Amino acid sequence: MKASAWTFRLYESMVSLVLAEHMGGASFVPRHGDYGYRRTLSRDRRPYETADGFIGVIIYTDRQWKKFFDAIGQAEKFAADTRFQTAAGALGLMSMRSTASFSRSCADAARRNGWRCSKSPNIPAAPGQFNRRHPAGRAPARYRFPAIAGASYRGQDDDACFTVRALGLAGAGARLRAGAGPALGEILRELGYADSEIDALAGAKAIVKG
Amino acid sequence: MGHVYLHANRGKRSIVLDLKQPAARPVMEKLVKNADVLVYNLRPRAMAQLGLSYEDVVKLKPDIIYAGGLGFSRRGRRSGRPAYDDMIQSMSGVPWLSEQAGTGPRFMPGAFADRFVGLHLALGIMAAATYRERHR
Repeated sequence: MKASAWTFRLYESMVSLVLAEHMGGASFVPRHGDYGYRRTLSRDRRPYETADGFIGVIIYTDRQWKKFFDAIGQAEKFAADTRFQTAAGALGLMSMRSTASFSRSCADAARRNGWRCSKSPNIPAAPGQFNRRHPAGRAPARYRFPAIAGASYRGQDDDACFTVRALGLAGAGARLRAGAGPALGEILRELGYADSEIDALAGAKAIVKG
Repeated sequence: MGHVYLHANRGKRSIVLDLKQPAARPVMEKLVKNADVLVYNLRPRAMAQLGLSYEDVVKLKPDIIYAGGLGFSRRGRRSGRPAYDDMIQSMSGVPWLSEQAGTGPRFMPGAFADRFVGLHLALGIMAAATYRERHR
């Protein structure tokens, strides 16, 4: 058995870790959007205050949105909002930057209706852990939904993308193409499938061709 | 397809199977028989419903390394609950740290819980592969 030597670099490791957040829509050629991953960089992506602390919520599906609206006593809003009629529209709401006032009204309604971390509906939600609580059990409430309308991720093409520019990675996304399973045929042929069988699998909706 | 997925998976080959379609089952079985490792991030119950529990998979490939990225321990009271990056950041106290730093309770500006557990998962798989090679 031969010896081998490896190095693990702090700088390159961290750049690879944050690259997706920096590149955002600029990962694609042509671009799908600006530098910066809007959802994770949104000022509205944070824990929200409830009646008994803070809660982290991430709502993906229209069914989860419905449960959320029911829980905060705003069922009629869900029924009236056309964005929830399609999965794509509901997913779009995860990017809260364009819906800041919407998320703020949801949060306010949640507080007014006494929504409690400990009694959240069956949606992906979890209480925030704080090691200081006041006698009523609430976490310190000094961060109360400041004005967030018009909030934006500043510095998208300036300071925030310094690693992209410093490493000359602006064209790093050139190889990325949106699509599912580009090696599908290659892999299935390696497993012994003929082209006609691959077509049959696609016909049976067992595989998704990119 | 999202840019995060593409960044994380560049240089890898992939296919998309709809495992709820019966015709996909034999394809999945062939993939498993040719694999060293099966990594999943569904909840264990969902894997079992798809016929892909550890007990199912080990029948197909007796030396498979079966690795799950889950939200919570299977032995704890939160076992089987869904989890996403924001939730885990919230529960693990990240917002408290940012509050102490004076910026209010916030998450780290990225899906760091996802990636951090991904690194642990990869490390664990490497250890399992080493163990398997030493005990063949």
